[in-house]
Amino acid sequence: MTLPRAYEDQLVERARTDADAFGELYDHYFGQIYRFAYSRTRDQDAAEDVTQEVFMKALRAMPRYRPSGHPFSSWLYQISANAIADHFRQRRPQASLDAAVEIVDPTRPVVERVVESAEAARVWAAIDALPKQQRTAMTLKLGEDLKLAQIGEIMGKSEGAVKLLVHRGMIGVRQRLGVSAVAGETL
Amino acid sequence: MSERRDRFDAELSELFGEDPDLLQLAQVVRESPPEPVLDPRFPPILRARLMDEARTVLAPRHTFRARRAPRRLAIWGSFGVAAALAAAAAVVVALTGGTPPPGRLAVVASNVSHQRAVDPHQAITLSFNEPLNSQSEAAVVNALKIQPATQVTVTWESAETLVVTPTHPLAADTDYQVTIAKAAIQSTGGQTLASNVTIDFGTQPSSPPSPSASPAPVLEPAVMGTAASDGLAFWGPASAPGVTDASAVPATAGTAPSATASASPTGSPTPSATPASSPLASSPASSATPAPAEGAVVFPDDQMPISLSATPPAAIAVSPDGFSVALALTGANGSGEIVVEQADGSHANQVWPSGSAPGATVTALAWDGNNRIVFVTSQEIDTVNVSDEQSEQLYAFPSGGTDSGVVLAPDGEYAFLPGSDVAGQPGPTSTATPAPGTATANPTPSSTSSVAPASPAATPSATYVPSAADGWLVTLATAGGQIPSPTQLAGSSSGVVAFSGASDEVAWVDAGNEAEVATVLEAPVSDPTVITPVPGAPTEGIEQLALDAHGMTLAYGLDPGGIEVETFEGTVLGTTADVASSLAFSPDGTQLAFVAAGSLDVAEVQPGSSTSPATSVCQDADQVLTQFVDDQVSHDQAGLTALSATGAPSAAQLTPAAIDRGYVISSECAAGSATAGPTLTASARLIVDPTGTSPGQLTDETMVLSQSGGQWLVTGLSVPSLRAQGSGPHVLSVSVAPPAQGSLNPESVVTITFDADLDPSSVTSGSLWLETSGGQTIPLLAPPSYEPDTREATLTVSGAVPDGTEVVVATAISDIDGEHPAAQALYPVGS
Repeated sequence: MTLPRAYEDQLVERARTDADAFGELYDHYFGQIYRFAYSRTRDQDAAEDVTQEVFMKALRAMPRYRPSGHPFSSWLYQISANAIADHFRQRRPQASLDAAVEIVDPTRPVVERVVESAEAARVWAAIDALPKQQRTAMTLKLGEDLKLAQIGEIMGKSEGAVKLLVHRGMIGVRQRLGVSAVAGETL
Repeated sequence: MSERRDRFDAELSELFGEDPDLLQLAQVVRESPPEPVLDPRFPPILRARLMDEARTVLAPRHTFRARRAPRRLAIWGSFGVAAALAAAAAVVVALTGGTPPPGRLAVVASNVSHQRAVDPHQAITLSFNEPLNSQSEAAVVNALKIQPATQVTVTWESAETLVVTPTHPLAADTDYQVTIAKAAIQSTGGQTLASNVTIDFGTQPSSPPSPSASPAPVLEPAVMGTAASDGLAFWGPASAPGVTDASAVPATAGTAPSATASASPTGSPTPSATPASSPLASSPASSATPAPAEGAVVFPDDQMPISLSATPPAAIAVSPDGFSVALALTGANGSGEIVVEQADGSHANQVWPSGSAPGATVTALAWDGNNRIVFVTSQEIDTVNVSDEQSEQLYAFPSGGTDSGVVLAPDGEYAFLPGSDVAGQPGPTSTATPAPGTATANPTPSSTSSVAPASPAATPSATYVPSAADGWLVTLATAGGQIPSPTQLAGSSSGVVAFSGASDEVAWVDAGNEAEVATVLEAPVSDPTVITPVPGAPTEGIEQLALDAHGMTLAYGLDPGGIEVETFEGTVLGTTADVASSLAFSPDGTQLAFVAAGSLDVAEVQPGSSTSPATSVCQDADQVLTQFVDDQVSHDQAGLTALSATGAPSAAQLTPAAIDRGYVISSECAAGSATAGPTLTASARLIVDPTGTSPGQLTDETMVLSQSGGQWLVTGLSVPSLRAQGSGPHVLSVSVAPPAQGSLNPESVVTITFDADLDPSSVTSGSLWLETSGGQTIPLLAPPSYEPDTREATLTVSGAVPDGTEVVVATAISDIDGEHPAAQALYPVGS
């Protein structure tokens, strides 16, 4: 779903002064940004608010936007990450997240359990309960399927730092599901 | 919105290759992303809102080229300029309007023909109806001519299609004509052209620099080292940049961290996590196996990085004498502590807390002299003596107050406190909060900093009306727990506040007025009621603010991204698109450090250009000038009349009909005198684009603008008759960069931009020079220079350009085809 880079560059340049070109960017990236916002907020209203804020901010910044050599989507994700952080700053943490990560039948391997959709949802709830930066890295990697380098651009971190966040995040998920590094072994 | 994904992700395999269970878990999770709940009405509703907003936000601003082409727009219709731009890139335009005559060779298509907004970087293609013979393929290279003269590379994409690629980007907002002599080419079947090939097109306008200001440079930061996204940039000993919370991850790609990998400090005093892109990457230490290094690192020139701490401090400050560094750290038991060490990272000594009781977390600190540190915790503002480690409470936050939002001045003698930290204290009273702009008597700090240059905020604004008042500037007492004489900083509720390096100026963002337009305000610390709005500052999205030593230069960190560095007068010194935090000027103001994209970046900041009073005086005149030319192009008689002074020549009568485009070439501002007001003298070009039946024409007009009743109006206008665009180079714009502020050898640089590629050898002091209004030649510091890539010639003179100066472009100058201007021309130069 990535736009050809040359075409995207041309489109972004036009979008600095052309509403229609910005509309084309919106059409292309709405799905990704909304999905990312929803993944992080798990709330339709919040995802809509965040998505609207992201595109409004991007629109207002377009006249002074200068390509940095990175995909345009990286910039949108950066704005999204900030908007989501603002969203959570304005609200108390959702108590229900922890509740969702209830420990279930630890005698079965984690992988076996997550193949069921309900269990996958529990895993994602476990991701939601991770520390903020791990959560963002995990969502972008496993939810948005981005490359580590692009996640680094978005989060303002090196690729190595992102690796560490994802790695720790996965371990955190496994721990929160009540399973040790050896599948099926309870903590 | 779900997408089918490949099961295999090489990065995950690499990351979890040593833990198959974790890898499988990651892959399964990846294949089951949460499906968002989406109201199908939302995307189109948001799109409609965005489009409404876009039509306002994306409107071109501050263009100095009034470009209206009614006839062309009629061709494009509602399709719009942008759509035409896209069409220029993607759509092949038929030239002949039908099938070429039987037996005749013809150019049947070109990607630029009749386009008026071609991208200057675009290659030109011409397609023939028949393949050309091999001799013609060679001959056409010599037979092809482009006007204005432009160096090109000619290649054949196929036997039918010719590609003409300009060596340098085409000039913006310029008419071009490509011709091929009919005798030069023949098809493989022996067919010839019925007539010469002629293709007309025009390039899109750019955003040219103001005729009286140099363009804003783009900052080009150098990467000094890695940093966490929330790292803290600072200037360490000997003015070396540094960063706290450097990355804990060594740059060893391909090796996944193990399940037990940790970012905890190693305790190694040698920082070695220098990134590959760092100029220090080739140092011996960084060539060794990188070890995790986290904490505070300083990057001296030509030396190994210095590790000041192994853990990331929450705050850091260098003593005024540069010998000591204070760090706010978190101890092993989670308590806060202040450690002082020498500038080389040695002799670390915990100076607070001195007893066994755990210290509260320290969020900010500053040196007050070389032996005393002022610091902020969640409950209070304290001080500690470095020698005897005795601490005292300076101020306790009231109930509801916290350390959040407290900003310490670098000298530790002042602080900005949010309203919640001052409420209920005996200090602030209505008498201590005079309205801004009214220079009432205000307590002077007991020990102000050393003598500073004249404050940029010395003149209060008579018109600014603050909208909110939530913050307080306080003088920190020696001890005692009360704030003596706090002063309200009107409109500082945004919390974006910064002190100058010498602690003599304070600036803040007032984001609370009704129009939701942010205003940056600056005031001398010694009298914070003398408030001056900073002209030209961004009006939204300011999240970070930094001042140089005396508040003469400001840096803004913007949301959602970007940094702008501007002088106090509003001259933009540099911009960058980095999403940055923690802006910090070097002590001499020539460099800006910040944290962005996982690194500590340092950008050179060119010294501020001093904006002459005259230029400032004429700022409004530039807008009137642009509008006037715009009205000429659109033949808006009512507009022209409104912008013309009584008794001025009739612009409606003098302006030729059927003008397609117009732009200002140059302007010059004269500040005026006791007996005469300021004036703006300008040169502008009016253009009739060529059509299929008539050649292009142009005229260079001159006008004078003066102030009448407080409004700028055109008082003088001279419009020569239209002439053929003809051959030879034309001047597109003239601008001047005034001497840099504080320069030991002040000089001005005049830049003349041409539409044609010049013969560099023709750019001499005999073809291009400056002369005064009296006709005297102004000596140049060096012979004129020419930059082919931008088609810019530059003239450098000592000091400021005198009032009344004009650039003279003589007929001796020539383009690469040897063509000369039709006549010598003069253009006023902005002062």
